[in-house]
Amino acid sequence: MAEATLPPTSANAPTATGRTKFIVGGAIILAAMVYLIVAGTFNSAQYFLTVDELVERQDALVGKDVRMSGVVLGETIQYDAETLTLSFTVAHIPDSAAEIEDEGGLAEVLHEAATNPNAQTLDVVVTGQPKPDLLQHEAQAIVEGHLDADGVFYADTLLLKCPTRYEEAVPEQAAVN
Amino acid sequence: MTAILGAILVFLSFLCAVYAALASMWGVRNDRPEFVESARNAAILTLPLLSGASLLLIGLLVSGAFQVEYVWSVSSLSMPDYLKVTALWGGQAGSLLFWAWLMSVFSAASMLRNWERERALMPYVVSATMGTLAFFIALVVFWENPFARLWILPNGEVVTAIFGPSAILSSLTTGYVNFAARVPGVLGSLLHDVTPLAAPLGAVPARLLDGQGLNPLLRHLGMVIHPPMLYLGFVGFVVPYAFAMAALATGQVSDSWIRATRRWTLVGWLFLSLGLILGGRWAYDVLGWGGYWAWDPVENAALMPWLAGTAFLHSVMIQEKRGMLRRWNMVLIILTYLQVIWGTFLTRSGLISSVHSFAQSAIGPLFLLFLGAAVIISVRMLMRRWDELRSDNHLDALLSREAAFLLNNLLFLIIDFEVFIGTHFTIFSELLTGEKVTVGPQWYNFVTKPFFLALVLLMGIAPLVAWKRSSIERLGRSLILPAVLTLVFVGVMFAFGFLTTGSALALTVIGLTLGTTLLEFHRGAAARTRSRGESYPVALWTLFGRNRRRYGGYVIHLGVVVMAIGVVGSNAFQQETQQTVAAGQTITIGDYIMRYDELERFPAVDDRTVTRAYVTVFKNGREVGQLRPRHDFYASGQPATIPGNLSQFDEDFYVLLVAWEEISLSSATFKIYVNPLINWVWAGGLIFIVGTFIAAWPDFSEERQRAAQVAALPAAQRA
Repeated sequence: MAEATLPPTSANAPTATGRTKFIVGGAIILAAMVYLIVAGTFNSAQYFLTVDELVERQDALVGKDVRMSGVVLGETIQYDAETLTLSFTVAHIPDSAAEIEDEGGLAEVLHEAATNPNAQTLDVVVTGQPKPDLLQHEAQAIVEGHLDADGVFYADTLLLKCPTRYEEAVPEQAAVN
Repeated sequence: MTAILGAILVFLSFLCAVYAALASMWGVRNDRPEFVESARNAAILTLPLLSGASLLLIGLLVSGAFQVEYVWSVSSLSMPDYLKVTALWGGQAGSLLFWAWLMSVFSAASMLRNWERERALMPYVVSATMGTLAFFIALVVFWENPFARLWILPNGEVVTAIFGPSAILSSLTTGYVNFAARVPGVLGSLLHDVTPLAAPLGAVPARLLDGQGLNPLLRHLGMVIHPPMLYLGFVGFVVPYAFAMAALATGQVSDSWIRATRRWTLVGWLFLSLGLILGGRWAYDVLGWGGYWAWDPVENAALMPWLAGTAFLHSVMIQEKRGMLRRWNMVLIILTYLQVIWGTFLTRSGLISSVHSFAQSAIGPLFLLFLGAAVIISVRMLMRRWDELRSDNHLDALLSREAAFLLNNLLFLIIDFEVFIGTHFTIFSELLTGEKVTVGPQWYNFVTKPFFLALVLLMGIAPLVAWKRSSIERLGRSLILPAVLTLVFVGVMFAFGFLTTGSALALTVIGLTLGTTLLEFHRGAAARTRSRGESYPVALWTLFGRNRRRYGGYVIHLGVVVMAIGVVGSNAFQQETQQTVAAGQTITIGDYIMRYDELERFPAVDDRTVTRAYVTVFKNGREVGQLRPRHDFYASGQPATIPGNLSQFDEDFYVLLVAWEEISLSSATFKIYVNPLINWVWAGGLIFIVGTFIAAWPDFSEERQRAAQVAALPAAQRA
């Protein structure tokens, strides 16, 4: 087909019925989108909670699929390669960006929480996964799963915050000549 | 000193960009063409200035000038040279400079290429591109300066500053710091975060012997190419936006701006597509979770502009052919640009928690400011010309090529909107309900799959639908052969139990589109053979030569079809297993048996300890390969797991070394994935590239013709 423009049609205004067809068609497609978003949300959306919030609302949330974030306490990491069971304890970290800013940045917050003896902690168990490289002391862990009646969080997925090189970090010691 | 020179070059480029943006606007408004010329020169000047600065930074990285804070944070003595070069975009400050440099390359190219042909538009193009560039350079100069150096105060504290202590500069800096401390709120913290100009008196240079080095996960070929591709894609779309703004400003909203940006859009689109595909490939090769797309906010940040950009790429064809969808096209390119800026912002501001995202940074509020200004300006200009953007023609029938493109726009925008909602779900849910709710891959797949499939189907049907009005019968006739073949093929596979219902449905749609696209090639070639007696191969070649855009586009569609097959295969039929075995033992999965042979540990270049397993893979009893999955542990404490991968035409055998017995190194744990059709995803990507080259290849005879026409016009009429 040649790439020439076609001449304009003689009727320049669409008829009322003509335009209705398109509006109805578009509305149906948009309705499908809304339906999918709502249904998808009911099926698979999860609460995103801190350790504090989850422990506080345990009774209501036992068994419910939630996502939680906390700081990993390195000395509690245990991995049994035979049964593929990984267990560790996380401590509470705030989730509000403003609070994190105020306390000096994410690394500072993670460190504070990991060394604070009064921070709320929660035991996490993950099965069927390899021990991730990034699972270290003071790493931020984001887990999805549910809290069991015994107070242990059974995680289906474990995500660890990718170490950042975009963060401002000043060397603590520098050799002075 | 090199660092000071680099800082000066960047600062000069900032002055040039600001001057160019303002002078161009002023010059065209007050009929002073000499200022427009001057602005153009300033704009082009940013290129050598930023090139120089980037080269200097690379020099600092390679030579290990660790007093420079950026060099200290991303480079180290043990890194190989090529990684030191790529560390240019390994951290925030360097990558912003890199972004700015690429922007200057593209704007200079458009200054040189389009100046004569689109005379009336160019002054506004200068303003729009230079305005964007000025913003990014400002971020670099004032807040994220890669040339800032580390100094030590008498009390042992370490500070950063661009210049060393000097009477004038240090007191200026102190005065500024005191002033900034008195400004309250967000503005105050922004002013406070500005990189200090000079170190206080009494400070000495920090002499650091080594740097932190690049994050091990970034020391991979994929990470070398992926960010530049993405940035080129982002920057590539700024140029069509600039032309769109110019069209709105001058009132020349019909065709010249679309024609001018045709290739720019293709270039930006190609790079963005490549960046997305390469990102997936890198994740697959290095991150070791067996997949390539996780619907992570940072991935989505690059996907959203791609969706709007692809819609724009198609929709402009309707404006060229029938003068329709003008308003749509303006909206689409503005949306693409805004999402480019938003996407760049999302990945750097820590707004959305993501496994990729970077720390909270001062530049977040600045991006929001710039974005706000861009929204206000774009919308105002669009509203001013809204009436003039009225279509020449109207949609006559629901079943027409025009309506198909309208549907194309709608579907892409719906997916774009859904991805946007999902990415920001936590923010919206908190605003509306007070609860933080989040959605994951399951949600994204559920809400987008039907629309993606609909797009694949549309890709197959739209070329068969005629302009203005088409009949169902005609459409049906064209579809019969591909439909029958596909249904038979899928039906047989389904009957044999190879397919699930979902994948059968998806493959039917994909097969239909594959068939109709191939038929398009055949029909075109057959027509030429019939009418001109050319042999089939010659006919096919001339077909491509004469209609590059169209048939290049069909090749790209073929690439999409191949990718779609790969996506269906690798998602629906992936197998996995994880087992611990002693040396000599085997793991069975599907048709495969993997024997664990031995484990070794040794130090390697780049300051790491490698633990490497040797495994032999058998398929249906026959040995098909030996793999060496390994685990790298860097001196800095960073680990990395690199899979062993046996790539075949129909599937990948992908194995990770997950754990091992520490003392004797005798037993080891492996996680194995069998990923069917995964390589079709990458192959589809290659076909993409080929198709884009075909579509974008310049038509030299057409160019000579156009140049002759422009030259023949009297000077006053050249526009």
